[in-house]
Amino acid sequence: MTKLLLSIVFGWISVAAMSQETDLNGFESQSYTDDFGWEEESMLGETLPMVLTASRLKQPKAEVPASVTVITAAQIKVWGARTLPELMKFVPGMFVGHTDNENNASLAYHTSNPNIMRRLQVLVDGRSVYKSAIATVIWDDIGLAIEDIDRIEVTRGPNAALYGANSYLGVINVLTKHPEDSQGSLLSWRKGNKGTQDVHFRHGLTFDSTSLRISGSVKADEGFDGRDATGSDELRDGRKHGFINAYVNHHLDESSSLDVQIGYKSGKTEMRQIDFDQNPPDKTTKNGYVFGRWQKEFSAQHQSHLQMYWQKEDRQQSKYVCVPTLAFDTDLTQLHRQNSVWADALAGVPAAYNNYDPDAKNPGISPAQLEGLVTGLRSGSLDIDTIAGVGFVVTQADLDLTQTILSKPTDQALIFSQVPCGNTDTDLAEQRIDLEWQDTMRWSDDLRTVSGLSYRQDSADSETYFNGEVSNDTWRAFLNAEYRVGNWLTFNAGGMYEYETQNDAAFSPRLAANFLIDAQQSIRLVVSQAVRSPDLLESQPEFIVNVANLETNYLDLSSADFYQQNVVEEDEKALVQEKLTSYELGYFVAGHLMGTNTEFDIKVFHEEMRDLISDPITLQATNISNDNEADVDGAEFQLSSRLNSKHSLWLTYSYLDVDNRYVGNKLSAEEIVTVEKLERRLSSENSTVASWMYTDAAWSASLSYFNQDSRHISNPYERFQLNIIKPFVIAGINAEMSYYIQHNRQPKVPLNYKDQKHSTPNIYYAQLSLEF
Amino acid sequence: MDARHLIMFYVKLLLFTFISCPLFADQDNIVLVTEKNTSALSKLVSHLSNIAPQFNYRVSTVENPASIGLNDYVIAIGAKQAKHADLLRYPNRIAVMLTAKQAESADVATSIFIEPPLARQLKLANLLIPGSKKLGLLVSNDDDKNKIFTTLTNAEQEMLQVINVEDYENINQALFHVLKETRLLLGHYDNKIYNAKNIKNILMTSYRQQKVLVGPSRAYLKAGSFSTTFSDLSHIAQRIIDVVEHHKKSGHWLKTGYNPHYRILFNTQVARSLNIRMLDTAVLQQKMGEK
Repeated sequence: MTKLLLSIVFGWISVAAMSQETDLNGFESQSYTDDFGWEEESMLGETLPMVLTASRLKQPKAEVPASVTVITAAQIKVWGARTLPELMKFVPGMFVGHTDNENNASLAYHTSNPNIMRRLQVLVDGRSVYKSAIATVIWDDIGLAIEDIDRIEVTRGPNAALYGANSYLGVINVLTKHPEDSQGSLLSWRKGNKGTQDVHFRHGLTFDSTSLRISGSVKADEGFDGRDATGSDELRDGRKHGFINAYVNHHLDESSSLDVQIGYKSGKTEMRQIDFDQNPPDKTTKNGYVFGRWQKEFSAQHQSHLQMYWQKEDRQQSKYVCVPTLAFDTDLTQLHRQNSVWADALAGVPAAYNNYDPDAKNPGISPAQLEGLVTGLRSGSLDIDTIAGVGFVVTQADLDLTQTILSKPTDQALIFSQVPCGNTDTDLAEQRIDLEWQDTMRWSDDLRTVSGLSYRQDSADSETYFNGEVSNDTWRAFLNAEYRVGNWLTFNAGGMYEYETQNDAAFSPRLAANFLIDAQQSIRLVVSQAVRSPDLLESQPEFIVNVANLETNYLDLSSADFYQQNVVEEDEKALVQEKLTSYELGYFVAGHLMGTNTEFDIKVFHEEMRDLISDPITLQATNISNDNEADVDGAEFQLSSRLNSKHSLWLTYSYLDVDNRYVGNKLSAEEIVTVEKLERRLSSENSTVASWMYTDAAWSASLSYFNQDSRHISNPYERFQLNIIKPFVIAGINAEMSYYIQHNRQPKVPLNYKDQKHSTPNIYYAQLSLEF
Repeated sequence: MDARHLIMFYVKLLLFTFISCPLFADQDNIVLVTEKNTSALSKLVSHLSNIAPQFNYRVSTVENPASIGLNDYVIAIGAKQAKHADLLRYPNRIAVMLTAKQAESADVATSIFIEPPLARQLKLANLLIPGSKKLGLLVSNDDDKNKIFTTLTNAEQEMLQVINVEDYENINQALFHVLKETRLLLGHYDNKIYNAKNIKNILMTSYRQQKVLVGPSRAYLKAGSFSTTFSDLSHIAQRIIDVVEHHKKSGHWLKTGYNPHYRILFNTQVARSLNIRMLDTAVLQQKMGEK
C-alpha cells in the first residue's frame, strides 16, 4: 500500500514540475471555410484535397481511453532486441517467461501461468496470430522480422471492445513498415553465442502507384542450457525458423487503396524428451497466410475498410515411444475414468519396478513389494482397507476392474517387463478465415464512431487432439463512440458483441472518460470488461494419444490408445469463458520538464479475474475447470524522456498485489497450493526497467536494466544489457556494425522452471547490416 | 443688398473657398488592376481603406476598366497583370500576389511576393520542432536548389538535407530519402512538387513516419500541413501601403521582396494527433524576432 501511495505522490510531483507553456485558448483556431480560398484559386490554380482528415488522424495520446505503450522502430533498433518477447520486457507490468514443455516464450500482463500464453491478443497489421485450436501465441511461428516493425502498440489492459474475445489481459498490436517506407535493400547478419545465427534480407520498391516490400529471414539459437549445465548446452531446446513474406500497397484511385500481404514460414523447434519419449519430439511447423485490406475514403469524415485473411498452419510432431503394455489396456482407461489417482498409480507400477534405486534418498516401494502387491490384486485378496493403508482410496468396483486388468497376461512378470515401442504424433493442422468491415465516421466536430462487423472461422484437424476436424464460427459486431465535450472532456463508450458456435455469446463493454487539463494532459477513468473464450481444445477435446506399429504385447494390439484421455462430449461441455473486469484511474502528461521533452503516464488499477482456467489441457489434467479467481491491484508508470537532441531515457515501474484463489472443491489441499502458485508464477510484486539511449550520427547505444523481485515468483530476475551501433560507409554502401551483450546478475536462478538457465551469465551477438 | 453685406458675402465666400480647398485638392489614387472582381479583392480594398483612408481606391477589371492616371499607383494583382502590356505606361506599378519566380519576369517598379520566405519558415520549423537532425527539403532540380540557397545564409543551408526529385525515378523515392534522416519536411512554394496530385502522398508518408510538413503556405494547412507563416489580405494591404508611402516620401521604391507582415498558423488537429506541444503564437512571433 505504501508503494502504491508513493507511486501516486511521484506522479503528482511530476505534474507540478511540468511547465505549462500554453493552454487551449492560446491555439490558433482554424476554419477552412474561410476567405483564404483565393490562394488556391489564384495562385495554385487547383483545389488541394484534405488529406489528414479527422477520420485518418490518430487520437492524441491524452485522449486515448486506455493505457498504451508505444515502442518505435528507433527504440527497437537502439535496444538491439532480436525477438518480440524480448521487446515486451520494456513494457511496464509485462512479464516474460517460458513454458515448460512447449519451448515457447510466455508473456503475461500482470499475472498468469507461464505454461499458457493465451491471455494476450497479438496482431500483426490487423491479423490475429493467436492460435485457435490450442489458445496460444507461438512466437517462432509469427514469421516477422524485427527490422520490418514500424511500431508496436501495447494496450495494457482488456480491450475486447475493439479487438474481441481473447484480448483479455491486453493487446500487442504490431504494425510493420509501409512498403513505401521500405525502399531499397537491406541485408543483415547476426552471430553470437548460444548458437545465435540470424540472416535477414529486405527489398522494397515503388512503381507508379504500387509499392512492394519483400522480406525474408532465418533465425536460429540454442535456447537454454539446462539445470546442470556447466559450460555447454545440455538441454535440447534449440530452434531454427525461416520465412519469406511480401507486402504490396496499391493506390486504386484518389480515395481508395489496397494492401495485400502473403507469407510462408517453415521451421523446427527442438523439444526435450519426457515421459516415454525415445527420441526428441521436435516440432516442425509450416504456415502461410494471405491478407487483403481495401480502404476507401468516402469523404473527409468517412472512411471504411474491408479486410480479409486466410491463414493455415501445419504442425508435425512425431514421437517414438515405449510404454508398458498395461497403459494400453482399455479397462485401465475405464478405471481412469472411475478413479484417476488409482489408475495412475497402477500404470506407474512398471516404471517404479524397473527404475527402483535402493540407494536413492526416497527409494519407494521395492520390486519385491510391488510383486506382492500385484499378486494380491490379481488374486483379489487385497481389500479396500489394505489399499487405503498404502494411501489410496478405492471402491470395490475399482478393485474388481484392477483384478481384470492385471489378470490379462498369463505371466505376471510381463506386467513389469513388457514395454513395447511404437509411433505416435501430435500433428495439428489449423486454419482461420477472417472477414471484417470497419467504418470510421466523424459525425460532427464532437462525435466520432468506429463500428464494424466481422466473421471468423477457426478450424483444426488432429487425430490426437480432436479425433478429426473441429471448427468454431464467430460473428462479431462492435461499436465505439468518442464524444468531446468542449475542450475539456472526451467520453468513449463502446463494446463488442460476439456470438460463437462453441461458446456462449459475450458482450464486452468499455466506458472511459478523459478529463483534458490541456491538449497534452489528461486524467482518465476506464472501466472495461473482457472475456477469454475456451479454445477448441478446451471446449471440445477428444485428446487421445494413439500409438501405432506397436511391438509384440500381451494384449495383441498393433495400435492402441494410451489410457489417459481427455474427452468432453458435446453435452458435457462445462468450461465457460474467463472474465475480467478492470477499473483504471490514469494520468498522462507530455511537456517540458527541466528542459526535456517528456511523456509520463501513471495509473492505478483494480482487476477482477473470474472463472479462470488455470491448467493447460493435458492428458494428466483431469479436473480442468473454471474454479480459479484472481484480484490484482497495483500501480504502474512509464516515463519516456528526450533529455536533449542525443540522449533519451525510458523508465517503467510496476507494483502488483495479486490475490488469487481456488474456489472449487475438486482438488486436494496440496493441489490447491500448486494451482494458486502457478497463476502467480509469471509475476512480481515490484518490477523496474530503466534504459538510457544515445543517438548520434557517429554512433548510437543503449544501456538497459531490468529487475523483478521474487515476491510472487520464487525466482528474482535482474539483468543489464548494452547495445552499441556504429554506422559507416563501405564502397559507397551504408553499413552498420552493432554489438549486443546481456548480463544476467542472477545466473544461477532459472527463469521459471529448473532447466531454464544458461551456463554463462552473458549472452552476446554482433550484427552487420548493409543498406543499398 | 447694401455694399457692407456684399463685402461680407465675398469675404465669407473667399474664406470658405480657402478652408475647403484641401477638400477639393487631388487625392492619390490607388488602382487595383485584376482580371475580375472577387470577394477577396473586395476584402483587400476594404483593408486598404481601413489602413490608409487618405487614398482613393478604385478597381479596374477587364469587364469594368477604370480610368488610370499617369501618377496613380497601379497595383497589378497576380502574375498575369504584372506582365500586362497595357500597364507598362504607368510608372508606379506594384505587383502583388505573385511568387518570387513569377516576379522575375514581371516588368514593374516593385513586387510583393505571395509566399513566405524559406528562411522564415526554417526559423519557425526550428522553434516548433527542435532537434539535432536536419530539416528535409525537396527541390525539383539543381537550379531550384541554387535559387533557394541564394536566399539563405550558410548556417541556414547547413540545416537542410536537400533532395533533388530529378535524381530519383519518382517522387515516392525522393520522399523516402528526404524523410529518412530528417526530423521534418520543409515545404517551399513549388507547385511541381506541392500540388494536388502529390500532396496526399507527401502528407500520408510524412504522417506515417510521425513527421510533419511545415509550409509551403496556408492552403496546405487544410490538406494536413502542420504550420506555416502566412501573409493574409490585411498584411498584403499593409505592405502595399508601406510601399506607396515610402515612395511618396522618398521617391524611391522599396526593394522587391517578401512581405514582412505575417502571422503564424497551425493545424491543431495534426498537432494534437502527433502530440506536438505548440507554443503560444505571440511567444513564437517574439522568438521569430519579426513582427
